[in-house]
Amino acid sequence: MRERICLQPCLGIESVESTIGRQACYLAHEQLLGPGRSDLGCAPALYADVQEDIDFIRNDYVVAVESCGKRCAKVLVEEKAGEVHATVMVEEVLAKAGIDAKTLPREHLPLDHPAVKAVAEEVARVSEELLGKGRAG
Amino acid sequence: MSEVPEFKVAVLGCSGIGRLVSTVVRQAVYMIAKDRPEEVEVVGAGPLTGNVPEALERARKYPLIVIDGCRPKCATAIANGKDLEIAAAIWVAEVAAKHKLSIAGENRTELGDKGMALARAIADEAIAKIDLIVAEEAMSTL
Repeated sequence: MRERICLQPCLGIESVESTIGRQACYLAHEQLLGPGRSDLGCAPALYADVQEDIDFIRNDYVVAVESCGKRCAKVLVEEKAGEVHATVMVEEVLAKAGIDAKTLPREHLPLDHPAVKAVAEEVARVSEELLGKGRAG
Repeated sequence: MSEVPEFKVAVLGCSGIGRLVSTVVRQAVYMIAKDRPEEVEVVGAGPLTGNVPEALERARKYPLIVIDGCRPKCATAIANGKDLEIAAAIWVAEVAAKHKLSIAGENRTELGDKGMALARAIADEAIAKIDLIVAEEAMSTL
């Protein structure tokens, strides 16, 4: 039974959505879910076959955090024989929250920024659902 | 008059998430893009590992500089795995040692002065390499 969540952001660098997704994963990992229940999946390390990152996608529930429709996190996880159990689309969360990402800087957003918080809360929500299902199953 | 072909340098930073140094590399890449907007094409590790054709094309089209954060040297691993030729490589530990910069006590979620100072040093190292590659190309076409 899987007992932890691997937060797997796409880790793009060109768009503000990718920055928001990355920061949201930190917030979800460090505060909302906690390091006791979640791991941060690093795309470059997973590609490079770093064992820790391979273990995350094999042993945890994987939540992909995608900044666009190309779904790079999913592509990589599946290439490494893992499975994505839930996906959070940054653009969709921001649209629902009424946040226009185009006005935000791509370089950095603090963890208490509303865009980061909105995405992190959605990441935590789907993660809790997965963990709850695991306990029930 | 014939059109001069566009020449740029592609930059790939590891841009990971687990380690503090990956945040430093990410900020360095943004500094490079800001300081050399006409000469640089930023290529994300995410799109490359996600097999996005346009990202792969950009990384193949231009000389590629990779910036590696931690010991597995993931940016180099991505370039090698995707058959991208590396024109120059920068390793953060080398830059930190050369400039005697420490990032101890910094936070991976938000860099302070020490983290940004290392990012600046990395960016400057990369820019020197970019300027050299661009100059070599310009000389070769005269």
